[in-house]
Amino acid sequence: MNQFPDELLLKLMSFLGYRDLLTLSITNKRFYNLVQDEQLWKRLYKNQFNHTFLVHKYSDATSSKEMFKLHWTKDLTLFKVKYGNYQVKMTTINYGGNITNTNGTFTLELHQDRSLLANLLVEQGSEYNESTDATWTGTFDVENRTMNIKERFGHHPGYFIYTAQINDKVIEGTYFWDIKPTAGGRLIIELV
Amino acid sequence: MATNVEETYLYSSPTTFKVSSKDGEIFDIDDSFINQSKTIKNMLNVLDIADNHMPIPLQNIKGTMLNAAIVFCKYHKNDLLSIPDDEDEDDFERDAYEPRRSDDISEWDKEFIKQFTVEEGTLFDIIMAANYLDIKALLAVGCKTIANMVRGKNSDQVRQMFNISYDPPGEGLNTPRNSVTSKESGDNQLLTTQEKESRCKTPSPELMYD
Repeated sequence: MNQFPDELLLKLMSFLGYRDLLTLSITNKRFYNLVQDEQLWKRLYKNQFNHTFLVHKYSDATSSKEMFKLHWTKDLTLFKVKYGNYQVKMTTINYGGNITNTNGTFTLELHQDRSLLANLLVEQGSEYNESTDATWTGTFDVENRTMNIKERFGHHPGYFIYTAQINDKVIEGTYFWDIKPTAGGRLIIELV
Repeated sequence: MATNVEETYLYSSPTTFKVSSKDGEIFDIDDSFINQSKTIKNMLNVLDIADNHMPIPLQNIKGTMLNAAIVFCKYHKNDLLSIPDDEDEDDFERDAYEPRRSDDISEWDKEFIKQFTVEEGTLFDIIMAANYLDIKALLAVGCKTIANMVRGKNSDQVRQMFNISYDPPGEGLNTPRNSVTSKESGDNQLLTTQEKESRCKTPSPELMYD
């Protein structure tokens, strides 16, 4: 494995989808670095959304991977909620990195002034951290009908793929935790 | 394509050549191999080789891998006709956005590739051999096979499969809060099995799939 050259790993990674790439990216440092490869994500993006794009079109997208992430989360338009308080039940269906069980609930309060408060209550600690009761705060952008939740502290390399339930609606989404610590993690659920 | 056929006949006498592996085994190769291995093809176009030539040394490839590659090419000798020879792997623009699928490995290829495993590292060896010899079909079968093994696994299972240990992605990127960041990969190698298990504990299934 150590003698196996990067170019060939990239070649075999080109046959994988984004979930498997994310899984690989959190196995170790070498894979992490390889998964940042621009070409892998360009191809995925093109085949997922059927067009190519300009990377810097959106301010916070600095790579194809970032762009893929944004676009992917923006495609989830399954909720219909109004302002109010909601209990969101999150169930992890796949995950990686130093996160184990992120099942839990978070209370979601959408206020008229567009502010949002979301507290995630994690049922069990993550793999490398005993205490992971993360406090997430965020904003609800009515215009874009997008809810951005930032984890206020803590950075856990990894991701989880979850289902979230608000009222009777269930969506599946991906939480990527692979960005810089200062930026925190971000969960985007689009609300319609 | 007429030009390709002509090219093939440039070195068509003699029709077999000898090659020697890293470990000194000598093999006869024929057109089926020469036509599919771009590396050999290019070599033969450059070298002027007589009938009773010394074996061409392939210093990077073990005998077992070379033999397997020859078997593979013999079976696939007729496939070549449908693949345009001028397809350039380096043509990035054209290739860059092509979807890649790995569920199209033929039954024969599946059986063939079964002799190589990740555990023994032979699957990596055959891919590297295919890469060195520039046999596209074999390279693709090998890569697709590993890709298929990775698919659907979680990170612990992948680590187990590749026999690699957790190695924090590093400063400035993903620094876990109070954990093993200061450990370099070298340290990880020294962990006892028990320690490794505690770091990469396999979650219980009901947590993964609700």
